[in-house]
Amino acid sequence: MKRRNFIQFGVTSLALSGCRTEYSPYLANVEKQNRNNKDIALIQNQSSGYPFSIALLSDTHRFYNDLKGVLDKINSDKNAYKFVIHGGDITDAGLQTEFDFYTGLRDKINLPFVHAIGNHDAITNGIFVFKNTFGHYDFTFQVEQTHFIFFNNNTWEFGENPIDLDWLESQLIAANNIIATQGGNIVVLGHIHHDSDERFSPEEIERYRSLMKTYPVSLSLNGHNHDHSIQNIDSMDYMTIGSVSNNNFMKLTFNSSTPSDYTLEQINV
Amino acid sequence: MFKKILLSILLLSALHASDEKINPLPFDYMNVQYAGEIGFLSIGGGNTFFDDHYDLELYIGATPRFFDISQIAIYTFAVKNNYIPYTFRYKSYDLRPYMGLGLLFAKNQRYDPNWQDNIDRAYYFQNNYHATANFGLNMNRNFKESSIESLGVYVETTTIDVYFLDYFNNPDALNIDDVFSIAFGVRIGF
Repeated sequence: MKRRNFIQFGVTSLALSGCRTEYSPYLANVEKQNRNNKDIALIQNQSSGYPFSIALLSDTHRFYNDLKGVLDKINSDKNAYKFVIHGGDITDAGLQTEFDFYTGLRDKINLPFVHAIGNHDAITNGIFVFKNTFGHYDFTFQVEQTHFIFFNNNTWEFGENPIDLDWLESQLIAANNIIATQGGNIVVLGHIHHDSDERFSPEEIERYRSLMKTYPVSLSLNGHNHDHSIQNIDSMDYMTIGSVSNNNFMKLTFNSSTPSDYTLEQINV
Repeated sequence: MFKKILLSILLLSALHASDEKINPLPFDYMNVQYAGEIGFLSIGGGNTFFDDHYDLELYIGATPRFFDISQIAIYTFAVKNNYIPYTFRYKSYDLRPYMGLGLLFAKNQRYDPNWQDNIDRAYYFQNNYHATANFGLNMNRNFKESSIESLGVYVETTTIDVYFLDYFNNPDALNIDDVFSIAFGVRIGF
């Protein structure tokens, strides 16, 4: 390499940094943004009744090119979707820079997003970054007469706080009380598939299935396993939202508030 | 423990600077660096080999807890290898462009999730060490009759393995300035 080329290379590389400083890849210093709550407020302010559709994507990890392709596809038909659900594993290592890479791409899409926490988001400092960026790990919200319950079932990574099925049941009861007078349905989302015998005991798996059958749950959703799939167990649908690395996502449409009145369509990029 | 080591190195540096006959440090020069993935502030010692073409540096860095939302101070140990293809000399000044690879290690088990009892070993790729790459420019002023041989500044850009791989694998979604950050430092030669 000639001297002039080397100097050009050095000066160019300095310019490449964009004068951004980073003290440590492990540092978490994101301001509180509460993105989930803000976006849920946007969804609830745009009441348009049934039918409505949701884009379901998950496990974006470090598949940023694939994520961009999926987001561009959603954006090209954005009037077809009321909002987007991310099923967790926004990152691979829970590093703040990974969250920043994701939000940089997500913010180019003018649709509300609601995010679940995945197991990969809960390592390193990810639990703190997720909380400041998106909000609580367990939360509920209502769109039209459909009740959404997001709960954290990342048992390994939250070792001190194993799966809280009591909280889940209390939220199902609360939603069911409203549905008893107004009608409606429920969608439950936890990042890990409910029958993961590595993480959950047989009693926990059985209790989860019992809860899904007891209350008017349309779908139990999860991410984690990367391939789209639907299991029907005792007339209940358990769906894995695959990774964006498959270059596709799912379109979930509720035609009415009747629990079984929904359709699923795989949209390829 | 870490604070004692840092204080000892600072005291030894001061001793060295006050009298060239006292040279307790095994280094040709010392750096104090701001940012660059190895701490808010880091201090390092280095030696030059192969007729001024190669620098080997060891650092310890700290990021105070008040920078971190989880309120944990981050202590980092790092090694850098820098290749200096040319040194441009003008009067008493040297200009040294360089490029290098290194390794950083953060002293906290939280950054290596595989240590947890309820997680399978090696389930996660993430760990508490990373490879680094850097490009920089160093300008020194040399002194003939002084307790220090040279005093200089440097500026460099740094990335770590996973960020660079992110860019390499996702050129449509990420820009190269997303994965590099800038660092500044002062270099004192003995």
